[in-house]
Amino acid sequence: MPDYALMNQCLYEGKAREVEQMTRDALAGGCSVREVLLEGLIAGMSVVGEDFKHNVLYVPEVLIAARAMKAGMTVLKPLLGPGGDTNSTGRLLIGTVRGDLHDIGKNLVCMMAEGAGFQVKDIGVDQSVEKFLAAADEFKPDVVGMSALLTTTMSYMKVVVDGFEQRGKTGIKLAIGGAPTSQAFADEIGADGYGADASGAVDLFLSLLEKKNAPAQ
Amino acid sequence: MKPEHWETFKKAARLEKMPQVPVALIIDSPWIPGYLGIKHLDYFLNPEVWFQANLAIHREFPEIIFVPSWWMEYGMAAEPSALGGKIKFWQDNTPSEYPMLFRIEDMDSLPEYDVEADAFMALTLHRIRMQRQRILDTGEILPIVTSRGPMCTASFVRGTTEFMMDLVEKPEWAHKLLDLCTRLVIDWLKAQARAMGPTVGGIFVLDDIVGFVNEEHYEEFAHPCLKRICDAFPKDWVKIYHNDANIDACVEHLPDAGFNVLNWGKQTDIAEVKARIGGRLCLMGNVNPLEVGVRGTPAEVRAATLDVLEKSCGENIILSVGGGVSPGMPRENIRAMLDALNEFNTSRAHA
Ligand code: B12
Repeated sequence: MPDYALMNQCLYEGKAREVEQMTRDALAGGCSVREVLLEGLIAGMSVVGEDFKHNVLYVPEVLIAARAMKAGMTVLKPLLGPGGDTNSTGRLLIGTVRGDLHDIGKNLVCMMAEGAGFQVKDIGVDQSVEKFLAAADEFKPDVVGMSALLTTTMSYMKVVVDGFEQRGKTGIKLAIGGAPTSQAFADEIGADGYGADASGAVDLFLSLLEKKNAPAQ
Repeated sequence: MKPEHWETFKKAARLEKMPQVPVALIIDSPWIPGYLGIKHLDYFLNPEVWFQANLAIHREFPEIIFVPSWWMEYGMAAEPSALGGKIKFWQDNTPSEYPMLFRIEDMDSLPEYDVEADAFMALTLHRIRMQRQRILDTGEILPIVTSRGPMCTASFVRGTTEFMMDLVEKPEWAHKLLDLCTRLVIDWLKAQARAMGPTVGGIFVLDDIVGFVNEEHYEEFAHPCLKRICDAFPKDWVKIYHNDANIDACVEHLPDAGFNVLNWGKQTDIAEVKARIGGRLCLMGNVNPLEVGVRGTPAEVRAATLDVLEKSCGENIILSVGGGVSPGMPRENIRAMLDALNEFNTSRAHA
């Protein structure tokens, strides 16, 4: 049985090489991919998320921990079933909307989502509805996340929501976040949900997935 | 800013006992064009539109000390533009800045900067020289030079996420980039001071990115640069620092860096900031700019303002919002803030 507590600790400290090696060793020792993912990587990353929330960790430490997590994931990914990701929690496409270049919060959301087992495609900042739609065609996400930090750019989220709506029933769930947004704003523009912080975002994505996968009434 | 405003601001910054709590706001291109219904591009590029806009606001609120007085800016474009950042302009929004230093090691190949001649720094300096006399003729002065700080500038050039990782993974390169940005900031502030002339007696440094690092990183990376900047200017100049991200890790160190005034965000209650640092820094804050300033009713603004003032006990405080004025803050809420301040000052005078 691998020392998952130690693996979590290495991940927490951002020791990418150690995490990668421990992931390999755990697999070689006969552990299942799922167990290593859950107990070795995801468990470590959730402590990182908690400590960030409480000002124990700051942005650089979170980024470095997330990279260690990624190092472990590169070992697991090819083994996660045919296509590489059928066992993943879900697929998240995310970006900051047009005119807005704030991305610290979005990047943290990406990391926590990856930490929770999502396949994440981050299209970066200043993204138009066309870019969101094109990326969705290619990546086939379950959830599309939009971030905005400016009151002047949050209205663009509605443009993206409308863009997806005009596509007709794609089944894709739309999530929003960023300091000036709120659940009320999500309701107003017809988004499927709002997340207040990185862990709230992950809970939101999970609940949206459940809704998406629930059999139609 | 009128000369008497500046005298008041300096007294408050030096922690002198004030008969009345003063009020100061940072207003700039995120707020002004929307407030006056003009396009951002016209605000930046049409000198007449810019002049009349600032004049209108100074006339509408003669009791407010605007920091840094009349601000010639292109959003946050000036500093990164001198180090090769890509700048994108919008009709109805402040510009966006894109990092272009994809490998930090490439900073060694950057052409030497020249604050007098580079990109939006050169244009800003020219605007200062063009508008200066006209501003002085209105009875206002230009007492403060302004720059984004070294961490903020480094993040613009390198990308925030990348730079945050550099702090951990390539600390020697992070130091090098910060050294470059610190030199740039000092030279940039000095160039503005030359263009503005002898009315200058203060620096204003805005650096939110400092708020994303822990105390150890603050001490290693940010503090020495901030101190170098403050030390590069006369001792009796007022040094104002703005950071509306997290100030938890840095706040106790700011007086040692050389700052006199702190403008911080809504996240930290003034009672806490006062307890930690109130005797050593003048606090410029911190009514919540968005949830209250923009979205609140005048009654909510009044309550929030009185809350800030009461917690400050009227000592070592310049009333402001927690950060810059948010786009969309309406006239009646600014008035409500001023009325609440009057109420507080009057009741204090009678006490
Ligand atoms: C850091 C910062 C910057 C940095 C950004 C660096 C970067 N690469 O991101 C810099 C210095 C570059 C910057 C620039 C500007 N900024 Co700024 N900035 C901030 C600041 C201080 C912190 C934002 C932040 O990163 N917070 C920390 C992260 C962790 O929190 P977060 O972003 O809210 O994200 C969390 C949640 O919201 C949520 N979340 C986020 N995204 C998503 C997405 C989904 C799908 C979900 C579910 C959840 C979710 O989870 C995240 C993690 O917990 C805020 C003030 C503040 N305290 O909020 C101002 C602030 C956002 N900026 C502001 C302004 C005005 C600007 C400028 C326009 C200034 C100028 N003069 O040009 C420019 C923007 C130019 C542009 N076109 O975009 C204003 C906006 C005012 C308004 N009401 O619109 C603010 C509020 C400051 C103020 N004056 O009050 N800024």
